[in-house]
Amino acid sequence: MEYKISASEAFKKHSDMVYRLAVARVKNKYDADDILQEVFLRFIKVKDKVENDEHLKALLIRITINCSKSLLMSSWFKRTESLSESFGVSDEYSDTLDAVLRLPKKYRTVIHLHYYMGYSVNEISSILKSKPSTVKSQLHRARKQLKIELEGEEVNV
Amino acid sequence: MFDENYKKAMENVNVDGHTKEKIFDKITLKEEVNNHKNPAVKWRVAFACAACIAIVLGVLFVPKNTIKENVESEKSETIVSDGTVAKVLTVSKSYDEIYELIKPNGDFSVYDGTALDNMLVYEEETDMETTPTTPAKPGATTSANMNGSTSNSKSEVDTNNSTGEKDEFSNTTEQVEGVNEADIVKTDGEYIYYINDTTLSIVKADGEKSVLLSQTELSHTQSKDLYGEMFLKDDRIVLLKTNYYMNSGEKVVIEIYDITDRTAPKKIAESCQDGYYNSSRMVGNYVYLISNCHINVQNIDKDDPATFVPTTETNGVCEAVPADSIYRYEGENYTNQYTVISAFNYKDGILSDTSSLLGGTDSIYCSQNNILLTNTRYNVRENSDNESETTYTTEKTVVSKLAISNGKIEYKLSGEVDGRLNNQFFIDEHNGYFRFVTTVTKRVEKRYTFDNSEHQVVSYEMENSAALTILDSELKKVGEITDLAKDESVYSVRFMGDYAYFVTFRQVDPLFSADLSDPKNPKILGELKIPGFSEYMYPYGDGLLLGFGMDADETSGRTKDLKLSMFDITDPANVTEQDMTTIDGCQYSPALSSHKAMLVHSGKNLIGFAATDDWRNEKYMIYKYTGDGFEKQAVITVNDQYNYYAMTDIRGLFVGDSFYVVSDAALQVFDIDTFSQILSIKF
Repeated sequence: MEYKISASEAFKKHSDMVYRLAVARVKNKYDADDILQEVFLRFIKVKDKVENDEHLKALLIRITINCSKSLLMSSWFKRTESLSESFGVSDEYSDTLDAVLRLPKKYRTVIHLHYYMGYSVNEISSILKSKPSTVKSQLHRARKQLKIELEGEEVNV
Repeated sequence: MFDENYKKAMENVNVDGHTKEKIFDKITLKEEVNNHKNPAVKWRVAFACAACIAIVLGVLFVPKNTIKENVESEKSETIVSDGTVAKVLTVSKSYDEIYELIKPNGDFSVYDGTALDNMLVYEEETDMETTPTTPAKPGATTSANMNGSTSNSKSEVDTNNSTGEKDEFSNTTEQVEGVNEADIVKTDGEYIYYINDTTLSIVKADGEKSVLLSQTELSHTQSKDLYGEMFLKDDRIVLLKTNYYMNSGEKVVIEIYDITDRTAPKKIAESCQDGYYNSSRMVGNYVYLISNCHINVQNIDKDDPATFVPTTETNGVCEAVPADSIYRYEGENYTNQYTVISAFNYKDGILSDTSSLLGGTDSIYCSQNNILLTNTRYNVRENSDNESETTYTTEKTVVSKLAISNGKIEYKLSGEVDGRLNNQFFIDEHNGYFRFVTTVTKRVEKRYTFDNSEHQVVSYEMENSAALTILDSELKKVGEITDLAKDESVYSVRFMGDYAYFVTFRQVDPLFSADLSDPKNPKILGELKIPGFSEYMYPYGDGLLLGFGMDADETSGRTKDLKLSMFDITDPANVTEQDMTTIDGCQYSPALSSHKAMLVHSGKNLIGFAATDDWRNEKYMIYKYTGDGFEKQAVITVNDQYNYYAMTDIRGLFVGDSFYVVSDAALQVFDIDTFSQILSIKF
């Protein structure tokens, strides 16, 4: 029962997931494009270690996080217009996206993994290789901040 | 709804079609090229998969059938708090009592902390990216959390100069003499042992004649297995790792390998305990394993203790921790967390004792006789409606002391210190006293009431400072120094006998030296201000202290490159920074958050650590200290930017006249004088 997936198949399946996580982490299109490519190039080297679909996702997430951690964003992009605009996110949802993107990077990451990807605290902690208690406290500090930003909008678990 | 909105927003976040096509083509091409190069790998993977299926079946069926019902204990007793700071935790009388604490109270949100949001009076700076904090923790992958829990409580060099330092080969650096700490690389001076996620490799360490003797596939249950570490003693390797089981959550598995035949290590025993790996120590013949265990309160059954108390498994027998070995902090109302601490014999992996505390554990300190477990707690605001101004500290660290001796673990008592700790080096035991350096956050709250209004306006300020606290063997406070370094946080601490050195940081980095020879009256001796900060400090021969950390801009506090500092501590009252050097273009090193990644050997005059440069090349840097300054010996490229993936750990060590750099990809051998490469063994 050998699990096999090629990088191009993985790309077809998960490029959106990787790209969105990259955007949530680096907050700009240009770096996210680079990261998308970089992630799958690195994936080629490790694809034989993949054991199943879940593992594949977790692995891609980890590589994405690694690729986006030492990235030096040029300051030019830092203060440009809202990302919602550049991706054409409708007004209805742009406040939410912008509020998340204003969070510190590590908070954005856990928020994204939890609310967008639906991972539990334990799963996130195993993907990020940090303690569940850490993830948990990051999540609820992030939630707290989001609550203030979004003026009382309910942030449910 | 937040999550709906966020998902909807994210659906619009797409890479544009043209770019996507380009990237896809590139990947397909690269993959084709690669496939032609590397046909041999697949067999090993197939074998690994087969092995992992077998193990899953073998283990999953064990627990439920073999649980021994622990009868409610009769000898248990309740020990009452004596009213002073030091407290004894309450021992549990029965499983029923514990069940009452664990079971859901209707309001499920309590357990994930949402309901606590309103109670916790804890704030922090909002934008981490514009404040000069946490350079050691890139991204979200390691814990840069503010509550003092760190993931980097592992190993380091000896507290005392030169003790335990051998000149024939380098050891895993450890905090306390005689207390071994686990790592991914070990050597006994003849062989080098290395584990990664999948394999145990043994290499005969013999300079240019070094040879890979064996590679043993480690059993895997799931892709979710967390990192492993190991101990080495005589002909045994004790491997520790966290496995994830679908139906019972995480367990730390302790595996014993017989390595009498280095070419064919044999797994001879396996034990495990619930929870995920926090830390471990080896004292004498026993490995002490500490795990943090979460109970899924939705699946608990009053009649089956194993569903709501942690279990251990040894010799194929799975057992719930006895009720009278479970302690809880007084006033604890609900929790779904346990700390589990067990002792295992290194030879056969047999469990000799287990104890458990309700509540989690952050950092661990271990001496030859005691283990201290620490847990950061938030102080809840007292009702202060009538007062116009209140001040209180937001966190305290609860310290629990357990005596260890020959595989027996005995809970003694608990105490408290104000503030939070970063890692195990913030704690020390010396002559029967326990010393702590903490960062204390004070919250000053002011209330204004307006004449014609029922409403109050509350303003508050947060203020950090450092504190040094000394507790006696009963964990009662005997001496302290408070309110040091206003507005700064403590970054690193080094206790050396009667003296303590610690570094705080906001913009410039004062290095404090303190005289603790009279525990009741500790004194600050000196304060040295320099830019940047050290994350770790290591004694370096006589009268020298090596700091490893980051350089920082003096006015903005923004961190720059990695930095090595050498402090002259011959006169503790007048510490000076004798020399420093920055590692240009490198802003990240695993040695900033885990000193296992740091090699410090004053005897051989070697300072080694991995560093990642701005282009994501991973390098291993070796320096020596000449008395006039740091001298770069070698820069060894371990992974270039195209190979860089996941968190590969890199270690440097020496055996005899050769220096070895071990990574996921290879073991590289160098001449220890010239650092020219003489051999490379691919894993």
